[in-house]
Amino acid sequence: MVLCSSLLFTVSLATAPPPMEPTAPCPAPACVQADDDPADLLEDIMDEYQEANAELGQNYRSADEEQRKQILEVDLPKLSETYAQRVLKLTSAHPGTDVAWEGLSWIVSRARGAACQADALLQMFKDFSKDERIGDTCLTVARGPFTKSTVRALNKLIKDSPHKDVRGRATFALAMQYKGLEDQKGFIKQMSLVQKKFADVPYTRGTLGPVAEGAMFEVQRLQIGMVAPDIAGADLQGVDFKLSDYLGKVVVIDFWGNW
Amino acid sequence: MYPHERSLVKRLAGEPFALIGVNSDKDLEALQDVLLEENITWRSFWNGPEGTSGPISTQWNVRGWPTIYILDHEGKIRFKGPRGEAMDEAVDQLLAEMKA
Repeated sequence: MVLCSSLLFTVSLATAPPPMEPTAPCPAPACVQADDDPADLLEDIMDEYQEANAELGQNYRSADEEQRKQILEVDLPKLSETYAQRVLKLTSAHPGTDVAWEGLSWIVSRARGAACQADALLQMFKDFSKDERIGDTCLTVARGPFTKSTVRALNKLIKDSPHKDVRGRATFALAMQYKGLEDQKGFIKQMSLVQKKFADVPYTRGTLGPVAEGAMFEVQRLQIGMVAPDIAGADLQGVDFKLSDYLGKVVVIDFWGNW
Repeated sequence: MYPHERSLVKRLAGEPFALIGVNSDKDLEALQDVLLEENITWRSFWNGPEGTSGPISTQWNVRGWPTIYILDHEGKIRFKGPRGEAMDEAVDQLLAEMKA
């Protein structure tokens, strides 16, 4: 039980490097009973979730196709929602604390499909807008879900955050939100800002500059109906050729690898 | 994935069609055996020693493998992503359009 919970904690921490720094004074030990320490309560909820999730996973492996659909589309979101609600209740009782940070991060990054995920995100942006760790949350937000309330929250974060890395990642997330919402103008405006002002901000691997360049290229040059940009290079035997050598033919371009 | 692509290439031999790969294996030497074993006859660009971080996939913003684009005979991007049967249907549609 203890081992299991510490493992889970490692996982949730891994989504939020760098190491924890207290963002608000911890409650004085004297006024907290050992058995209702919010950190322990959160750990208990996560333990329970882990068990329920593992059980569902086991059911999934032995289920037929229809049951699998039921598990993926009904049971799993319901499970996420139930536990996300419990975590949200706990974090609301301890706003701005490390426990709140841990709990809200968990909902935002792990409880995919939970209806209260959006609430958790807005809460996080509100209570931790000055926190440097919120930059990691932005990278999660960049992958969706795409909503207007997320766009508003990101805009506010960009105004409020004193950290350049956070503003850069939030601007990148904002651009990706616009892309998801099919607002091409919004996307181009924000992604140009990333390129101009935040190219050196760290991304998961490397920096935002090349990522922004790729995303811009995709939106501006790789849409359906556009003439494909040419590719020039060597084949696997070292002979140079170009994609445009095949004009006049129907071409499937297959990005592949033997793995 | 190879069997499907092999059969597509075989079925459309002689048609105005080409399957062009962009290969992201880091080790080009080791890949030569795979080409022989899997009978991979279609041509591929090599994405270079950086593998999936190589120049072509980076420029095309490829984030998942495999990624598919289908171009018509004028070089226009017409489909993104179809695999399996959907890929065959898309190619057949474009070939039919071309002959119409």
